[in-house]
Amino acid sequence: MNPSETYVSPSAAGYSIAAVIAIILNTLLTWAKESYPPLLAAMKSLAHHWVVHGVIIALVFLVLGHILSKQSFARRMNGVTLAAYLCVATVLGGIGLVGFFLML
Amino acid sequence: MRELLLMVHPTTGVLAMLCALWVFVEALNASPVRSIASNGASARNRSRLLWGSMLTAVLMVATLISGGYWYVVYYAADKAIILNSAWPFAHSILMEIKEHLFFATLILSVLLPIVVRTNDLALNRGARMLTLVISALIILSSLAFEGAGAVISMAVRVGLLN
Repeated sequence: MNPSETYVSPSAAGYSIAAVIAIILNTLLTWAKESYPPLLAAMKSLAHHWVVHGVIIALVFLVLGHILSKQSFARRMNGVTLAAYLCVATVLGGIGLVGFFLML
Repeated sequence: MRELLLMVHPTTGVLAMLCALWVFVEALNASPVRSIASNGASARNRSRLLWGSMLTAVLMVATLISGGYWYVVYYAADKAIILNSAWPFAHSILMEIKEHLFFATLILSVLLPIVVRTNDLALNRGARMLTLVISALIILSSLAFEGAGAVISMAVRVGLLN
């Protein structure tokens, strides 16, 4: 198969990788703040913890996506592979949250 | 205001999910321009993909703002009712999962127009697969959120009836 048929644009590649990282970080940050009260207290001292959580995840996605889009490897990313990464990250992130709150 | 937000939040959520479904179908039917005659049809398909993906992102952000404002300002009272009801799991499990997993759906919704706008889905199999997976994940997670939201609303009623 011609790589040009599967390589996605640098923007799509960069922001897709950033989305994978942000989705996994979302689950890890939830585990951390729910398991470690000082972190939750620190987040609450800034604003509502959910708002702080959302701002952190959004910033990671937008800033990391912008930076990764400019990297040379972003020109050689296969869309099918990125789709698989996104699918795995979302499913694992979801299972991580469901499992955590079921056991809490 | 509170009741209005409670109506706007699931409404924009469902509309965002329908737009993601629209993008999924358009991506399945994305076809290259083969002749002058089909040029118009293909251009309309790309235009619809762009509109569908941008509406998905805008409506999901509207869902975030309406639901987020309600959650931060008004939810504490409902939370107390739910935790004292026969259905405390509606908060301790469903609401906790919903409020945190929503960020993943929001990110996917913002990613969707970036992928659609910067790639030709008719010619690029990778971009088409990426679009299909992103829109499918948005649809499935949104359906789960709608179901969870219904149970949380019912838990408040159960608490009030008790």
